[in-house]
Amino acid sequence: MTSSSPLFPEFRHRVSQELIDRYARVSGDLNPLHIDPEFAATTHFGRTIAHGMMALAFVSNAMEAWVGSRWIESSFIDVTFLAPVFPGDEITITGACAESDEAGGEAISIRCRTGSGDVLVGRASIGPQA
Amino acid sequence: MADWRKYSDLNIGETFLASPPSYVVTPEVIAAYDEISTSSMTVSGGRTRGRGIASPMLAALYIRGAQNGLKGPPGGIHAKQHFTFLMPVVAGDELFTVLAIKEKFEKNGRNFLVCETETKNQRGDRVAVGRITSIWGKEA
Repeated sequence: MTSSSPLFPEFRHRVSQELIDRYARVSGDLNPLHIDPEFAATTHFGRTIAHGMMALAFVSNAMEAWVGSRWIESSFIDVTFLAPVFPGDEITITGACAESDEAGGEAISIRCRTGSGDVLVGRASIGPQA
Repeated sequence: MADWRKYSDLNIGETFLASPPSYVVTPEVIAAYDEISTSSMTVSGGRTRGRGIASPMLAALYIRGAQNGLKGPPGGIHAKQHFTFLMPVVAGDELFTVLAIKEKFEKNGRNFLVCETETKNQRGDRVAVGRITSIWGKEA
């Protein structure tokens, strides 16, 4: 990471069923696993879960707050979803500087966790994209 | 439901478009997406963009129509996601996404699907590419 890049701050988001419902409406992702408690109760999750992409929205917000317009202009993100996020969970997003990628971009490793443990890990990069 | 597609009927190389085929980015959807991304914050941070410029992760919305073309059964989830954002998306852009099936595999009794997306704007410029690994919903 360049010496001009500030340290990645910690971000927290509180997830509610109301937020999940709103995300479903805005995104068009109406999978009942997210918005229908009766359906979700029949799955191995036992209850509704947040959209994985909603957690990514939080990560994107964190990246933007961290590096500003460079996140908008040219960037990539690569993540693995490890565990579900449930209504009522608080997601904490943290980042750590990683080595520059092959294309010369600045890289950061991303981690999202709830009280139950890690829910998402991955890597984001800003700058030149291959 | 009868109109869900079976995993066994999906073919590698098959492509899907959204219906309708384009996604028009409006100031309202940019604002609604930003509001969701920030209203739940309990600690620090905020957007830095000017008005009318979308979060790169709006990609989750504009590729959704092509994803819906897969017609997967309810209950499917994301396992992995990659996006490369090549240029900013702004209000007024009309975006066209093509989704292609790249890989199918079974792991731990679950059916996985790997798809790639390519999104271009009204000028034909590529704005984002993605790679999605998802777990296919349970077929009743």
